Amino acid sequence: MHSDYPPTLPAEYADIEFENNAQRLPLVLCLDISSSMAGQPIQTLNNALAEWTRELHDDVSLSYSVEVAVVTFGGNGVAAWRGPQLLAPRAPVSPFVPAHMFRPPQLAAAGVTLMTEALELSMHIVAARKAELRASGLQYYRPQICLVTDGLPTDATGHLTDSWHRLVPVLADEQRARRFRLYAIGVGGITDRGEQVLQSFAPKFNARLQGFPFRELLQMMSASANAEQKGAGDEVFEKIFSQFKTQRPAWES
Amino acid sequence: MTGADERETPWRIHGMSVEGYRHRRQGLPCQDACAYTESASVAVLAVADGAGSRPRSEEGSRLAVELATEHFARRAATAADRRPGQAVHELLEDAFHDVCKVFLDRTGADAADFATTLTVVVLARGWLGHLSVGDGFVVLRAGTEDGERQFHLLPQPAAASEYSNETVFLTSPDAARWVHTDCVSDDGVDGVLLSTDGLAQAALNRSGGGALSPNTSFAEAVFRSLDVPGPVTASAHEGLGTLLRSDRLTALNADDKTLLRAVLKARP
Repeated sequence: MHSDYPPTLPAEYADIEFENNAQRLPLVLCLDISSSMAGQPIQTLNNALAEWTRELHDDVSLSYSVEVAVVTFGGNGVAAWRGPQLLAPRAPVSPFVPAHMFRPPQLAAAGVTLMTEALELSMHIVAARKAELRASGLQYYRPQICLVTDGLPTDATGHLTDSWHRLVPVLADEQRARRFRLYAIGVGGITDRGEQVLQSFAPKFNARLQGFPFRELLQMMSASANAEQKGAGDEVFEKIFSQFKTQRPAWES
Repeated sequence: MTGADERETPWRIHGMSVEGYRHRRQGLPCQDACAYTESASVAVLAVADGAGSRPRSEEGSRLAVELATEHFARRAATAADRRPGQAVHELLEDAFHDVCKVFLDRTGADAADFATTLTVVVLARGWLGHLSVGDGFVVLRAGTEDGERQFHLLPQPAAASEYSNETVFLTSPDAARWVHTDCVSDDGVDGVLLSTDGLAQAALNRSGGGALSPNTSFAEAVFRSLDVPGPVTASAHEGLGTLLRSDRLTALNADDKTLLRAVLKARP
């Protein structure tokens, strides 16, 4: 629904000056763009990102609050994007972009599945962003990290690896400390073993979905961001997620 | 602080709660509430923010401000000549205890479903009392410096969590531990503004490190419009509503918004 609120301030209040100190909600999309995503899947993902971006711009309550960063794993490794711009490794620039200014990257699929390293980078940029926000005196909501993959973690040569085990206790600690909410979503032809990895990473918020429902996935992230702003209890996030898993749009009801 | 007519309150008081963009879009009611009561000797102003995550919080916030105006006014009326200081802190804590007791009696086993914050200001002759649980806030107008009106944010209770959307409620098991009280004795106070956290980004500025101070341009504007002598007009009421519902404020915070303000009427 479109806002029917008056766009301008009444004359008697027109001289109020506002700082842009909206409470921030960092959101990381940690996306698998390895070779198995080539073709239709990556195109679907690019389209979904473009459409979601438009919706995000139109959402008055999210557009000045949500900050989006994209982390990808595929190609030659792990990368962070600042909107459409690929950042050089260890670039001293935050990948987070305010939602009202976010433009999605054009992603191409190739290469290996460095899922563990991508999640580590995601956690790192979230921690760094929180420190920046604290330093500038801005308040924030609990960040969200959304991992999306159709495969199993590999090493840099493309061989399956068990190195992801090292992440399990780290993620458990971080989630227990409520440093962020992690969503781990398997798409396409993800295997049972792939699903088990996601269950280990995100015991509550993991799913294995048919096909590549990226649109619904991104809408679920927006719905969760809204719930976060409302101060909703865990049960609300679980409900949103369970309705997403069964592919019923909870946020419509 | 005495007006010409001892029977009349020296304060002009006005305010409202409006539903935020998110609640409006979802067809949910406003979960904020505000109320005030006034007599010749004491005025009590209260604002409350019902927890977004609780099913009956809009009833909770309404009940909280109703009880607060009643019980704080009663306690203050019987002790309006109290000297500023410890006695006022005790009065505020006793009144809060009264409010909690009745609130929990009325809501019974489901009290947590009515979770709400509560911020109260008591304006008595010679002192101003402030009690808050949760993340509401109060800004005072008092004095001038180089010809500029000065605004002061009263201290808030300690933050309950790293995250800004998590706070303490009247119904929290250890609410009494999180209550913050102040007693201000300053004849220069001629404006008081109470709000819930929906206006925190608009009405307060943050410095690096998170220290908060009033947004002077915001405070100036909302007091100025109430300084106009005489009763508050329909258009002044509507103007405040338009401000609180504006996209400009929504972009900073899409939550419900409450602003309750009082200014000292001009001395004749």
